Amino acid sequence: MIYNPDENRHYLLAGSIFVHEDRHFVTTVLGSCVSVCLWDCIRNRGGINHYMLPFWNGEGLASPKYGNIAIAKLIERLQQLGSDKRNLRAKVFGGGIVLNVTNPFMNIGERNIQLAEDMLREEKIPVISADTGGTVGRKLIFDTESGSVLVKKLTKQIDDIKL
Amino acid sequence: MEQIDDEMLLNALKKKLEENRIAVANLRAMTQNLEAVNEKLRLSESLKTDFLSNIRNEINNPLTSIMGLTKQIVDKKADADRAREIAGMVFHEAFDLDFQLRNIFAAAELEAGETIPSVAMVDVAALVKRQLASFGHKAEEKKVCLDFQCVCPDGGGITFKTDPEWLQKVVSNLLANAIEFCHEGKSVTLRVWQEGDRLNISVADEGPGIPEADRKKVFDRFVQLDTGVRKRHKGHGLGLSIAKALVEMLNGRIALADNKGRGCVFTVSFAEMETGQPVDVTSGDGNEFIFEDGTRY
Repeated sequence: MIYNPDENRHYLLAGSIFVHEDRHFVTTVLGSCVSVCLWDCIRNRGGINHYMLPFWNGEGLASPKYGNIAIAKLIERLQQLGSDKRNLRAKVFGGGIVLNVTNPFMNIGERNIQLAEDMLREEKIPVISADTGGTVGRKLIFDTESGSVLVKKLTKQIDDIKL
Repeated sequence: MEQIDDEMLLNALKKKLEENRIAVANLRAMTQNLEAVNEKLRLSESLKTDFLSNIRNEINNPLTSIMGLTKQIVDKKADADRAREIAGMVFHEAFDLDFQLRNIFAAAELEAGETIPSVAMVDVAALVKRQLASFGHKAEEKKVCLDFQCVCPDGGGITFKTDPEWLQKVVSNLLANAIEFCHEGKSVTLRVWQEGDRLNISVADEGPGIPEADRKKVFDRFVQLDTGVRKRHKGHGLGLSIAKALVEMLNGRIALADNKGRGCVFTVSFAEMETGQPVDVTSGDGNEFIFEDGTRY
């Protein structure tokens, strides 16, 4: 992937989804959050989400801040652009461990990754690559046309940086 | 093989039983959680259904009165004074309708994940004053006094890098809420101050206040604390959920506390967005050094 700053660029905030029919370079920064990049291998276009928690529990708005909503909406948006679910390929990133967490039930990063794996399996979308877990933050640059993702790892630990 | 005596066997059994007991307790706690979430989702779904059936009235009623009022002018049944009065009423109805529709669209955008920030240098005091002015008629109607305090370090204004539209939505919803629930003849106080790189805005009312147990609930969508036939307040219960979602997207917090026993005070606090561009907001080229070389996937 050649990073071309003149192409359309988009910075994806947590709790948002980005899907566009034209080529875009989408950047996002992840700590315990997870991004699922979906790419249509026939139409050469894709979309990405960035969610913070696995499940919406009825609190606040039913927004893509929650994984179960973010993944379902991302698939839906790509289908609205004419993609066939069978042609979608997934790449999953993020879900780092936020330090100082003792209760394994409360490990948000891991639960976020688990949710992506479960939902994509259920939707029969193959995960062709992933870089998840660990104790580092990540910055992604997703090329929606080629489906290629450049991942840069933060050299600082997550607890130093609010993500 | 090492001989296992009775005591060791007993201890091992005890340990196993204890582990089982903990696992069962964990499972029970998890089941209870699931039941609570399930109930909450069911409630949320039914609130959404209520919303959809109510919305017809909420949109139709103001439109019907706007049409009825303007018809009097069209039919030349109103003299100049009456026409002025009608214009005032039409404006109020249209203002409420516009505010509600904007909230519905904002909630829909947030739920679709399509909210994209457009960052600019914002004169916060000017933005807040504009909001206070636009809600002036509401306050007047309720005889509520609007008080504005801007704490600036050098006596000047506060210029803050953020999305002006988001900020405006947060301020207008907190303000609308405070005026709606403030007792007649009392005041709503809006304070703005900067603390390091964070902007803080608090809106305090002198109303009935919100019981501790309901404080989390008010941020849920379609939730108004007085519902059903006793419902005395307009709106769909979207405003505070929108304010919370927007503040969280700005990496900020919204808090609700007692206003010294006289009502409640909502406080939002968030940091500046890091660049004037919507691209690379968190990591501009300037702090690229905190990242290692990239790997392609």
